[in-house]
Parts: sequence; structure tokens; C-alpha cells
Amino acid sequence: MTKDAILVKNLKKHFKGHLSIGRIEALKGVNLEVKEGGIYGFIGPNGAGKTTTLKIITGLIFPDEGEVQIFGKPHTDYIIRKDIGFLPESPYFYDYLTGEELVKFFGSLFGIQKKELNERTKYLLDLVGLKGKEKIPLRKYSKGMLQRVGLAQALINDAKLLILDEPMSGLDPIGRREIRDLILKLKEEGKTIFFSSHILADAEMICDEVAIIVKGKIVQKGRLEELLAKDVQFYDISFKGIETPPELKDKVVVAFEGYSMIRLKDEDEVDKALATLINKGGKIMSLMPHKTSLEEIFLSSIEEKKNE
Amino acid sequence: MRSPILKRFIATLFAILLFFSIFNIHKDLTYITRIYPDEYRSYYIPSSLHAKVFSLGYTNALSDLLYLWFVYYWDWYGKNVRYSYMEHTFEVMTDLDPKNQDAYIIAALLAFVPLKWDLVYKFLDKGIEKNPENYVIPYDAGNYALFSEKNYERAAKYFQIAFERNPERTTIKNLLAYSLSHKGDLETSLKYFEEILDKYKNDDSPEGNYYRFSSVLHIFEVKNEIAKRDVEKAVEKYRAKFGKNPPSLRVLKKEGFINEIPKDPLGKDYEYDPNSGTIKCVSKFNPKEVIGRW
Amino acid sequence: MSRFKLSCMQVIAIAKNTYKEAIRSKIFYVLMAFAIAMLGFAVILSFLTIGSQKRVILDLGLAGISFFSVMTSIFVGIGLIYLEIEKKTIYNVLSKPLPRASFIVGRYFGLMAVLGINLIAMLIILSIALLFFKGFTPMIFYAGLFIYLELAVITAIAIFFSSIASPVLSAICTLAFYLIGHTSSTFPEMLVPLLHNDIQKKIALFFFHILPDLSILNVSNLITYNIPIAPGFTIRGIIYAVLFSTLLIFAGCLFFKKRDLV
Ligand SMILES: Nc1ncnc2c1ncn2[C@@H]1O[C@H](COP(=O)(O)OP(=O)(O)OP(=O)(O)O)[C@@H](O)[C@H]1O
Ligand SMILES: [Mg+2]
Repeated sequence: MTKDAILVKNLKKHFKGHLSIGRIEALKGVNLEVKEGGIYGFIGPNGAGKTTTLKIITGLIFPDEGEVQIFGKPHTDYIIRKDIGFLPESPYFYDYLTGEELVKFFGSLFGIQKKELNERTKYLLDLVGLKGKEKIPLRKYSKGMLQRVGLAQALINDAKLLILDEPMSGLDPIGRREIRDLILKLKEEGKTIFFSSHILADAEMICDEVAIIVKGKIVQKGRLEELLAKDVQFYDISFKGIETPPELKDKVVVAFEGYSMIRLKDEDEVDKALATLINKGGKIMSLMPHKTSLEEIFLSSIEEKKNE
Repeated sequence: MRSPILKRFIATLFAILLFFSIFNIHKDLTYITRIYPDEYRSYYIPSSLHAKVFSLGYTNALSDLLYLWFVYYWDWYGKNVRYSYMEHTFEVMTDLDPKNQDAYIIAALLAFVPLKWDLVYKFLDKGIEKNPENYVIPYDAGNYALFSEKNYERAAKYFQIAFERNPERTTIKNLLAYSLSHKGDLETSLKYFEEILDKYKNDDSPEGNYYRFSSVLHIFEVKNEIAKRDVEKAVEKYRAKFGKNPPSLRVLKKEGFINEIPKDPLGKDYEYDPNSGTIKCVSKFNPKEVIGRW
Repeated sequence: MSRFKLSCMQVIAIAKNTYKEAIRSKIFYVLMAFAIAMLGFAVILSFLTIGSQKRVILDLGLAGISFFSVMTSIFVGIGLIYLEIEKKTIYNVLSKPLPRASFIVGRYFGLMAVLGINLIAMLIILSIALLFFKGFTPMIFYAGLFIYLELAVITAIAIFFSSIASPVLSAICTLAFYLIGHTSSTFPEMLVPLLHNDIQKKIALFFFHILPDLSILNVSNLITYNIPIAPGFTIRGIIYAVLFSTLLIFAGCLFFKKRDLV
């Protein structure tokens, strides 16, 4: 059995309200098990407690209750963080440094030797797409560039575990895609990636496992395909070239200019319909199974929580 | 309010008001400065202790600033308070930095201008006391006493201090011997002059020449003075016994009032005047001649 | 790699970064300009004085250097930790395998390096001014050493306060410390005459001995008159400053260790 990369048990944390009045329960007993290897998505709406959890894991704040283990060891020992690459939420960096200096600075905090550091810095800045911009002070970087530098510094120690707080925020669609590819590549290298996000599409595309947190509590967690594949809701078949056969007439959703689309409930029906259509000389344009989307799970979770 | 004319009008009004207010402020200021008559015009300077606290340990720097103030503005103060303020500022300044020689000397100079002798000596006395190594301050004090106040007693006292602190400087020794001779301590004076002569006997530098010349001159005079004083004393005793002055020096010797009939430094006899009972040197004095012989 | 070696590397990295931060910020140059203006002022005043010009330059120059360095150390020092939290730059640093103490110590050494270079630059300017007036004495570098020791203490205080309090509060506390440290040597002289019975006097003197006394780190007054300095004086100053700042930094680390960085 592999050890959990991150094990979070019954984490509780409160903050004082504005002017120390009142009490905000940010986490109300969070449990997480992040297996080694794979991509774990930590999703939840704004203010759910994602960043708070990550800050506790990286030792920036201290929980009221509960414990955290990283690769089986308590996270209170700072040396554990040698194995963690962390990208904080909307990274704030020393803006008087250049991108290169920044990455090197963080590298030296890991005790990486100079020669190796130089090579790695160059490689990483390349990797995150900042080639040619190494010598510009961060003050002049755009938000997306900052995010990329942040990612580069998170990778500097070649850690087994990457904790990324909203790695895709502030990036354009191309940038997001690049980062997604990068995360997948890192996974192939055998790293564990734990990232928080509220962009569900991204999460859905790459996560192996997810946990959904709402108002400081985990409401859903598990392997993504298990959460999603429980049921295919329906299949859409679109075709052209023939009239819709009479037995399928009542299933039509749209039909115009020779194109038609029919919606079917179960797999047997689909087999039959396909056979019929092909026999009649029709041309199948697409077959789309409609699963429950993460979004739907997400929204329904929130609904449930609200109703509580 | 939108009309430009109105705006301009208001602006002008403001300008006029401003002009008059400046004028008035100026008047106010003159009024404030006139509340107290000029004779009492003054600024507050804290006590030494408070100044020390206030200086945050940078006492020398604060003392320097006070010194500048003191030097340039001592006469800014109203007539009636001027000297008490001068004294006060001086106290604070020298308490902050007791080692600043300039402060004592310049303060004394400023007090000397109106001839406030007590202040002059007070300032210098403090310097002498606070700087036990320093010979310049007592030397300065001696100069005031000797040349300006002509108080030989005091001059001798200060030169004595300066001499003790620096026995090598001939200037000091010379002036000490000079003030001693005027004060009446002729033997010590003679001793010092002879030492100076001894030191520069074979010195041909301008300084050596000067001191040789001056010490010879003084030795000549002091020796005469000694002889004169001795004779006068003897005459006094003679008169007490016989009710009149002795007719000649020989009589004085015969009666046992003097051991020798005094000769002047060049070995000649003095001229005795029985009426006044004093002697007078009649030798023509040529120092150049004398130097070789002494 | 041993933990100790790693910590050393981290402290050096953070110190270097702090140094970069300072020399790339404007405030550093503004303060330098102030100090140079101060020295210029000393020279101008020295023209006005009657008597020894070099004394005025030396006195005012050293006082100015000391004062401005202390102000720099206070106002940069209190921001050293707090601004990092404020700007959230600290998150990324402390999420690395770095004990929080290393962070504080690194910041401290970084600022001390900056202050040291600053100080040397000012002393060189002062030396040039003094050379010009034939009043140069190498002893100003000795005075510089003591100014530096004082800076070590003041910076430690600033860091200590900034690790537990807001910048305004820590500025006030650090300034208060500076003022007390610089005036406490006059307290017995000031207070004792005001008290009437012996017990009161004893209590007052006891408190006086507890107060920090920075006057033992002030030699400017001695070197103006070339007063010979006892050999024990230097050692005592160094021990005092090192002990004092180590203790403060240590206490600062203790407080900072348990703090939520929100
Ligand atoms: N320093 C703080 N002081 C007081 N309350 C805080 C503090 N930090 C977070 N909170 C509260 O804790 C809760 C969780 O915040 P957190 O930043 O963890 O949310 P999040 O899930 O990261 O949200 P987002 O998606 O917007 O980043 C919020 O209600 C927030 O108001
Ligand atoms: Mg967040």
C-alpha cells in the first residue's frame, strides 16, 4: 500500500472577524487523503476554505485542531517541506527581483548548489514559457507572467509533491492549456499534484481525484470517474443524408437542412438506432454520451449545503 | 458663481485679503517682539542637565552648536539680561563639553570687551579646573591679569598654574618671572630669569636672542630691585633705632644693618640719597657687553 | 546536507536578498542623500566657528552619521518583517523548508550588511572632509565600530518589536528604547536630587540599572579630544551589544514562531 502524500485529519480553524469582533469558522473538520502519484483537485466556491487548508499544510498558519501528515510524517517539522513545491494563491513576489533572481533565490532556500541551480532555473523558465524575459524585474511582469514564475519556483526543488493554489488563475486559454499539459507531464514523471481551483472545466480535464469543499466542510470526494461515471444520462446521435426513420421520430431533438439529432436513454437503444440508420444509408455525424458534469455535481453539492 | 467675472472678483478679493493679512502678521510679529522691552529680550536655553538629556548623548555636537550661537548672538540679548544669559549659555555649553578650549577663551574674550573682569576670570577658572592638563587657558588668564588688568598677584597665580602644567615653555616662564618680580617675589623671579638665560646662553636663533636679551635686561633690573629693597629695609631699621636716615651706606654697614655694601650688577657702587634713604643705579647698561660676562 | 548547513545557506540567501531589496529601493538613497547633506552642513557650520574647525566637523559629522544610521535602522528595521507579511511575500518564503528563525536572522544580517556599507560610505565622506581640514584621525573608524554596535542593538530591537506588533507601535517602542538608552546615563543625576529618602533612591537606582544604557556605545566624545580609550572599553561594548542583540533576536524568533501569518 502506498503512503498518502498528504493526510489531513479533522482540521479545524477559525479566524477572528473584522476588528477582532466575531468568529469565522473557516474549516470545520476537514479530512483529506491524497494518494501518492496522480492529480488531486481541491475545489470549492470562493471563501470555502481552500487557501486556508493549503496554508495550514504548508505551515503558514496553525490549525485549532487536527493534524496533517506529509508522506507519513507530521508537517510541523519544517524539513518536510523539502519535498513540497508550493505555489501560493495569486503569487506575491519581491518585485525588485528579476524572474531569474527570484527563482534562484527560492532555489537557494532549498540548499541547491549554484551550478545545478543555474541549469534548473534556465530549464524551468523555459518550461513555463518565460524564455527571454528572465532579466525583467517582476514589477514589470503581467499577472500571467507572475503566475508562470510562481510555477517555476514551485518546481525548483523537483519535489515529489506539488501543492498549487489556483495555478490557472490569471492565465489566458492558451496559458491554461499549457499549464494543464505541464501538470499532466509532471504526473507522468511520478509526482503528486494537489491543486485548488474553482475552474471546474480544468479540474475535470486533468484530475484523477477530487474533493469538494463548501463552507469549510468536505461535501464530496473520490475518484473523478467514479463520481462522474455512475450514470450516463443520455446519448445524442446526429446524422444526415436520410429522413428520420419513423420508429425514431419521437426521439428527435432538432432537425434542419438534412441534419437531425436524436436523444436516446440507454445503450441497447443506441445500438439499434445506429444499425437502423446505417442500414438506411444515413451518415453518422457524431455520437455523444452525456455524463453528469463536475459542474452539476458541484452545483448540487452547494445546493445541498445551502438547504442544510 | 459660474461667471468668470465673479471668479475674478473673488480672486482679487482674496489677493487683497492675503496681502493685508501678511501685512498684519508682520505687524503682529513686531508687536510680539515689543511686548518685552528690548532690554529684556532673550531666548530660553535649558539647564545643563536638561540639555544633556536633550542632546541624546551627542553632547559635543550640541555644545558646538551652542558655541556658535554664543559667539554670534551674545549681544543680541537685551542689555539688562545680557551678561546673565552669557554666563548661563557658557555654563551649559561647557558642562556639555568641558574640554573645548575655544569655548573658554572666546567666552573670556567676549567678557573682556566690556571689561567684566569677574566674568572673564570665572570663565577661565572653570576651564582651568575642568582641564587639569591644559596650560593655554591659565596662560590666557595670566595675560589678561598681567597686561590688561595689571593685577600682578593674579597674573603670577595663573602663570604659576600654567608653568606647573608646562614647565618647558619659556614664554610662560618668562611671564611668570615678570609677574613675580612685580608682585615682589624677587628671588624666585631672579631664579627663573637666570634659568632662562642659562637655557638660551648659546642659542643663536631669533628666539634665543630674544630671550637672552630680555632675561639679561630683567636680571639687571631684578638685581637692582633686590639691592634697593634690602637697603630700604636696613634704613628702616636704622631709623627706628636712631630716629633718622643713615648718612651713608658705610654707616649702615658699621652699625651692622647690612653685611656688605651692595654693588650694582656691573660691580659699580650705587648712589645713596640720605634724604630719602634709597639707592639708585648709575651704571650705563649695555646688554651686549653684559651677556658675555654673566 | 545537514540541517545546520542548510540553515546557514538559507540565512545567507535571505540576507543577500534583503541587501538587494535595500539597495534597489529609493529610501536607501534618500537617507544617504540626507546624511551627505548633514555632513555638508557640518562643514558649512565649521566655517562659521571661531577656533578649531575640524572639531566642529568631527563632532557634528559623527553625531549626524550616528543619528541618521539609527533612524535608517529603525525605519527600515520595523518594516523588515511586517512589510513582508503586509505584501504577502513572506508566504512563499516560509512555505519552503525554512525555520522561521532563519528568516528573522537572515533579514537581520541583511539589514546589518546594508547599514554597514552605508556607515562605511559616510565615514569615508567624513574622512575626506576632515582630510581637507587637516583634522583626519583614524579614530573615526573606531567611533564607527561603536556606532555599528549600537545599530546592531537598535536593529535587533526594531525586529523584535516588528515581529510582535504593528509598525506604528514598533516604531514608537523602538524610538522610545533609543531615547531611553541614550538618556538613561543622566537619570541618576536627574532623579536622585528629587527624591528625599534612601529607600526611594535605592528603588530609583535599581530601575536605572535595569534600563538599557547605550551611552557605553558612544565614543564620539572621547575621540574628539584623543582621550586614550581603555582596552576593556571595546571588549565591554562588543560583549554588551552582541549579548543584547542576540537575546532580542532570540526572543523575536520565539514570538514569531507561533504566529499565524494571515
Ligand atoms: N486572515 C483572515 N482573517 C479572517 N478571516 C479569514 C482570513 N483568511 C480567510 N478568512 C476567511 O476564511 C474563509 C476561507 O477563506 P479561504 O481564503 O480559505 O477561501 P478560498 O476557498 O481560498 O477562497 P477563494 O476561492 O476565493 O480563494 C473565508 O470565509 C474568509 O473570509
Ligand atoms: Mg483561495
